[in-house]
Amino acid sequence: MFSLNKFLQLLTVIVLFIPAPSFGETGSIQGKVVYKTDKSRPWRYGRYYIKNSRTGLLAEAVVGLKDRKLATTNEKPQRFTIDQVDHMFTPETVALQVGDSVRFTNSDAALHSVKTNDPANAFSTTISKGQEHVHSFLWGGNFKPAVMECAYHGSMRAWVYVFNHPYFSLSKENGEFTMNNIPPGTYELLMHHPAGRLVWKKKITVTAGETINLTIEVSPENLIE
Amino acid sequence: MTDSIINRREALHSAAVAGIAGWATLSFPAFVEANSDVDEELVPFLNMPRTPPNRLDWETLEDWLTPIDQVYNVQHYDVPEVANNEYRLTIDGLVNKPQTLTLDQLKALPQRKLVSTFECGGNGASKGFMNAVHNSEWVGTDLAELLKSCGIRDGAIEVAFIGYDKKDETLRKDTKRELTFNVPFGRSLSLDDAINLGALVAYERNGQPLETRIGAPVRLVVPGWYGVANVKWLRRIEVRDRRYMGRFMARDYVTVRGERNGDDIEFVETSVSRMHTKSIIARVMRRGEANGNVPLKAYGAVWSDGTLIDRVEVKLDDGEWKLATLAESPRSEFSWTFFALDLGEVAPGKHTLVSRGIDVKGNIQPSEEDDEIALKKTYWEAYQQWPREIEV
Repeated sequence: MFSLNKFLQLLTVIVLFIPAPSFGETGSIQGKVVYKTDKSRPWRYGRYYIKNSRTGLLAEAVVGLKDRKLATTNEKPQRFTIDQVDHMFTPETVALQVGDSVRFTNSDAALHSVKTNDPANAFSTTISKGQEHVHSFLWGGNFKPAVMECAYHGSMRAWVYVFNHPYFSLSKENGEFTMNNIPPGTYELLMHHPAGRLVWKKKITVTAGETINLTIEVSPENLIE
Repeated sequence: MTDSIINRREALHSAAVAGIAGWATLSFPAFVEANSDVDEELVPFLNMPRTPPNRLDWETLEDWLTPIDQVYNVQHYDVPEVANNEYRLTIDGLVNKPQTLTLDQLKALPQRKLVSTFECGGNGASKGFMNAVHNSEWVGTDLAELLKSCGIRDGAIEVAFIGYDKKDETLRKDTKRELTFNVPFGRSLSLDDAINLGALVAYERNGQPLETRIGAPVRLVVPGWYGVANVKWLRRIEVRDRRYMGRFMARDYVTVRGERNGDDIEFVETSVSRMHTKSIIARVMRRGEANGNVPLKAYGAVWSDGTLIDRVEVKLDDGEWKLATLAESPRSEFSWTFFALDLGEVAPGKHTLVSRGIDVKGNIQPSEEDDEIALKKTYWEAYQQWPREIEV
């Protein structure tokens, strides 16, 4: 039987062998993500992602373009690591490209598992201390992340954003993000902060040879339920 | 037994021991309001992992009853989805009148409320797993009354509680005698405990139906016992004439502890059962600066298996143990009690502070170096003192 997974793998192989189109000159988007606090709607876990409440610079936000036409070959697949340490997936949020893989490990004495119900990347495995499991992400959900869970410890979560293009960035501790070599055009620019349940988007036009400097400002108004 | 709100005389006993007069401003309301006090600022603990949702966030602890988004869930088998209209609870075994009840029939029986602090047997085993604890108000049917209504027969010694969740278990793996069988989750209580602990067959928490992940539609709640005894997705209650030896009674959730016998250390295995007297510093708050130092307050919680808490003491660095103030209200026999202590003006730099709970039976929360913790070889029942590191 030709399963959905087989189909997706085949499709991914096809996509991977499509050469990146030559776009000529490209543009860039860079900037920072800032969270504006509203004392009447406190964010319980904001302290983990905002080092300085006065500046509000927001870490671990996924910023990227949403456009199907951008699908390109991942010429240098990378391997990321998500460890399970202190009963946490570390890092919590990973953004990668189709064809990249994640090595899941367990540094805790406790038995953990990794499972995701993401339809294109579904898997479930148990990992004892010192063991590892490598999973290749062959299908891009873009801004629909594969949510990783531990079957035994219900509060453990990680989010793997799988893009079918390279135009995305994970904001650093200082809130900064950068995307380079973007083909000129008009796109939808999105920001997701999965741990904070924050969502932001904007139409943006990239011009060859230019860098757009942008401050993405979010607040509790950007919360999704 | 019913859930008894501790009377004022008992509550004041603890307060008096702690010398409450000097700490009037540090009683419970100050703790509740600490986050809203614009002059107070959280001093983050050093070297601590993030607290995820669905675990108690100690540093923002405000609610005596824990909101659902801070309630942990640990499960070892699957998480069964049991529809309310398909739910059945069977009580059988050594009873004169076996029963199978629907959820509506169960809810039609006399109801009882129970407020209890609920802690995972592994809570405190590591710094990433020290927030699997909550305080909840349960509503359900009294287990003892339910059992009595079925008529317990002579010869009964134990009551087993079986869940809807199942999994394959393998014994003696990779030997000629390997055995694999599909088995439901189960735990048991002695008949005496089942009748006298005040356990509840619960279907509501904090005024809401149970969520699937915490045992919907019906679970067992045994006040003062670690979480593993509180069987989720409860399907069957079997009165037995012999010990139930399921994995979670006899092979897992077994504490291995060395006990000194003269010069020897003898190891003893016991099933995880009653909670121990335990306290923790929940958070430290600072208020500006004074003469180059930083005024600090520490806030925390203390709980037990229902044994009355006598006092909580807090130590900063290598200083003396100081009495903390126990909140006068709210209180309940099986619930945690909040405490607070003014640490005074503390010099800038790194500091360590730790609390210890002491109950009226004389149990003193041990340090990691004390025998009862140092000789414990398994990670369950991790009730040792928990030092907190800060920098001001």
